[in-house]
Amino acid sequence: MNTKEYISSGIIESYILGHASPEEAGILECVMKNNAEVKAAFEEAQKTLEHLATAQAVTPPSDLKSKIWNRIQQEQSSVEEIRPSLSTDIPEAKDDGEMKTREQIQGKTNWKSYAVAASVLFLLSVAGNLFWMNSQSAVKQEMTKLAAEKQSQDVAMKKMDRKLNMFSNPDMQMVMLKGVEKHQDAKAMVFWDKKTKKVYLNAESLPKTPEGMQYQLWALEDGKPVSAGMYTEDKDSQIALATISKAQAFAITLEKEGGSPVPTMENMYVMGGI
Amino acid sequence: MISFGMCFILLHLEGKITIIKTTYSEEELIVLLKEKNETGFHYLYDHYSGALYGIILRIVQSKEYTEEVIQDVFVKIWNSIHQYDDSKGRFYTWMINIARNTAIDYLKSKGFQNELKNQPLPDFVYNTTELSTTNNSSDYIGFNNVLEGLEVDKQELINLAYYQGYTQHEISEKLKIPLGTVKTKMRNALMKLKDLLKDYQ
Repeated sequence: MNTKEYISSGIIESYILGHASPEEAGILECVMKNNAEVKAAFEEAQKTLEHLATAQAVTPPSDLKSKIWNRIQQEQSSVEEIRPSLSTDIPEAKDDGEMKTREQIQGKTNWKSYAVAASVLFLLSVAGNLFWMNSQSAVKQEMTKLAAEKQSQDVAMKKMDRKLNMFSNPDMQMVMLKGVEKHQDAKAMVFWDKKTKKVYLNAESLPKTPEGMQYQLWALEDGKPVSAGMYTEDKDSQIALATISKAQAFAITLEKEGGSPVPTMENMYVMGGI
Repeated sequence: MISFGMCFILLHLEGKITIIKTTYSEEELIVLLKEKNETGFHYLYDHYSGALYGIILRIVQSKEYTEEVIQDVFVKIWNSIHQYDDSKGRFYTWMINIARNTAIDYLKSKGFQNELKNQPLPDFVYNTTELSTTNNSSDYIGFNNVLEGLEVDKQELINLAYYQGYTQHEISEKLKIPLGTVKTKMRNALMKLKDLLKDYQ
């Protein structure tokens, strides 16, 4: 529908007479904002009926004006009379100052209570954090302890693994070294790889060596003691001490650090034959 | 607007109405009315009471009723001036529609009451003939003159829609013409009226 058709449909007249539906009225109001032609037609139609009203005016009775003005004033004063009776709960104007100070006091007390509440919350938060930090450090300590425990267990597991490997290796010959008379509780085990001829020692159960002293492993080859290497804890069951091609027995003596060309017989701890 | 603005300031400065302009634009009048300015009331009454009185008289067809209704109309204009929305129409048209609606509502309520009282006819019905026979009385100068210049069917259409509050559906049923035709006929009637009114300006 173009503008002319829309105007000549009579919608504008319907609207002015109050006959347009809310939908029609909404559309027209919107069209008028955007279409000057429709807006102009709307103004024209209104003016026509306004001119009709003016042209057909009838002079009212002369006392009507004062009657109406009196009624308007009466209604206004009655409205004003109703107001105070409705607002009895509201303090009067003279109390305004008091009201304001009361509001200010209330404002201050509000501020104070907010401050107190904020402080309490802050303290609670600090306490909470401290508690949390404490429990955190406790947890951390526990964690490090557990980690250390796990590490040592891991080390032990590795040792066990190595020993198990040695035991389970079919090429590995095991030689039990038993405590001599002086050191009856002492014992050690030599693992001698028959293929590689490498000698490993498990001597963990031997007493701790004093400062500057070291255990030395000896191989007895045809009655003669041959050094089969110096023992350290890190070598235990893991690193070969020496390569021995031939031996009938093994023995361990405590010697000065670095070893001795000949075994100190009185310092022998364990001995075992093949 | 500038001169009005000056008056406005003077009014405020002196706290009392000291300057009375003889003419106000609609916009200026609306401002005065919104301020509940007594000058605004006087101007409103002096310029529009005759037109509104004429419309109401044509609708309720009784001087007695008209005097009741027009009081309500002015009180409504005075009290609901803040509801007036210039994007939805002119101020004069807004007032005319308040007068029309108040008068038509008044008639409907009277008619309803008379029905309850089981009165055969409301008195405004009798007044119709009275009015038409007293056309020469000074009170009714110009009464019906303008519309009489229209063709009878256009007169009837405007009478039904404008003065009797018929909806377009009711007109369509009463005159047995399609709704679309009612709308276009109404437009044509108002176009013709516009031409006729040029002689009255």
